[in-house]
Amino acid sequence: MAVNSSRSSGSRDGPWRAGWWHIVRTGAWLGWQIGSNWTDPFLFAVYSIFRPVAQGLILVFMYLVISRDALSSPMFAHVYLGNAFFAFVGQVMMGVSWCILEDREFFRTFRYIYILPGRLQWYITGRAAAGAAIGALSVAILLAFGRLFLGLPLHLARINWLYLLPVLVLGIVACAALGMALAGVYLISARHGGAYSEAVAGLLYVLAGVVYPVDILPGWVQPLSRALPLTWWIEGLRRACLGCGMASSLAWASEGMILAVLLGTAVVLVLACLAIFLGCERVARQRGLLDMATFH
Amino acid sequence: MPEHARSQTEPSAAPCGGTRAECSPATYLLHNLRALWGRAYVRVVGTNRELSWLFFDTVLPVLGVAAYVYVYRSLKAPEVFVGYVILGGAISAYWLHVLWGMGSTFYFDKQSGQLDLFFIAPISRMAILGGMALGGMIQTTVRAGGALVLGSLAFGVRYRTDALGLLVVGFLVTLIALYGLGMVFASLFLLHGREAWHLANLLQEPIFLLSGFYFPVKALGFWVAALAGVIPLTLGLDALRQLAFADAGMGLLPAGVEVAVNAGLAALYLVAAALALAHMERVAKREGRLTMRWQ
Repeated sequence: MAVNSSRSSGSRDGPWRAGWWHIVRTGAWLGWQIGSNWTDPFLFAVYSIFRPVAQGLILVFMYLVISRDALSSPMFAHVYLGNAFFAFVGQVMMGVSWCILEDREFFRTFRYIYILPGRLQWYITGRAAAGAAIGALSVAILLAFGRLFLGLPLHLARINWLYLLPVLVLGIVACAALGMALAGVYLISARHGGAYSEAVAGLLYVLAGVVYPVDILPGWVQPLSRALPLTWWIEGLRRACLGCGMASSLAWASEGMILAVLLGTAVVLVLACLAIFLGCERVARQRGLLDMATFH
Repeated sequence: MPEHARSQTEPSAAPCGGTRAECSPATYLLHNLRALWGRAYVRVVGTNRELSWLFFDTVLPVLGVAAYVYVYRSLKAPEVFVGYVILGGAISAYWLHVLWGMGSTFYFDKQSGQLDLFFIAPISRMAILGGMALGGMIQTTVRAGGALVLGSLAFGVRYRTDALGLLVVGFLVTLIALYGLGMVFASLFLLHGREAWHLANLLQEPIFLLSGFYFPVKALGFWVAALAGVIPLTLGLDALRQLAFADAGMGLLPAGVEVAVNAGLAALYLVAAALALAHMERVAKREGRLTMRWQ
């Protein structure tokens, strides 16, 4: 479907103009329905619990196979927490990018969504919000499991909520921005399914020190790791929830400094990702790729 | 196409309607072997035509396991665990393929409108599933092999080679059992519409856990690990680890026993696949949703 580039800007004017909040809300509602209404609530609850808990337990057994006392070490709490919060990356970043493929390839609804008044970015933002809600559910389950069954030192009264909230939001925004950029790439890519987003998620899992201190990474990789907002995000989350960080190479940074670096890197990332998305969208319109079905 | 022209372009086609009742056994077998190869062909050829997949399917698993390698290294675990993780990560490609390339394939075929064609073709559905399995094994072996080589080189993994014969046999038996299970999944997933998608998702991390992809399955305790043995990769991977690495006393059962159990599972799953396929076809025809999309 080739779309005249002047057409979409025209649709945003006049009586058909849709408010951004309305589009975000509708996108979020749709994302939640797709994510949850495929089964009955009980099975959805089981599904929501099993996957994240299994992922957490893989780490538990990796620790247990090395040492029976390993679970009581402070390092395990940091590892478990990092892994738990990484669920947001899966749900938000991968979910947002996947929605393009899902709408275009499987449901064949993307053309209708695209020609609706209002910007596509707001729809994708709405889908990101739904992903964040499902991700929050996974994280809450994992943390509760860790506290109740693994004795993690997570105490609601000791969590620095005022610090946690902005750190958490900035990280989710960074994930959504990455998802937006990947969504743009999917607009113009023929096959490959979710391979790009899996590649990016895999890279982030390694580079951001999610399940180990970033100090253990090879020296040449560490600058790259420190340039990522997610490295600071994970470090900030650890400090907010456990009272201290994990990486000795980030120990010099105060909580305020971590928040500032996270904010700065997130802003740069959002701008870069938005530019990528808009560039890809323009190419997709010009080449008539918006409603291609590739049966990948 | 006029009949005389058809006989010229298809000289080897048997003069029958193609169904079991209308053909001689030899012709029917030939048709099914052709169907099997035809279904396998697209997967084998796809590997060569879309070379970028090779990058994604060899580098991605290595990226995934790199994090777990660093976890073991941060714990100062013996180096053999690095090998366990690399092997587990490479083998995980087979499990993902069984879920998405076997289990969900009929569902994807239904979404794209191809399933109708498979069902009206005068061949056994088992030939289609067998072709999917054969093509998938070849395709995934190329990718898993690449990931294994890349991961082993990147992290300096060393293997022992004194039990190579049993290792190869164990690997092949595990693959047959695993893809037999995938053929069972293909029928069952199709019955569950959009739930199939989530079912495949649900069977990722929990199976990575229960089959001990990233740690020796013995750590789960004997009975849990034995129950997890219904997934052929559980015992298969445990046997491969015992045969490929210096014995660290981490095996659940002797490798030979594990290979024998998987041989039994292979036979069981192939029979179950034929039964599940017949059941799926019966139910789908009765309920009229064999080709219903977007459900």
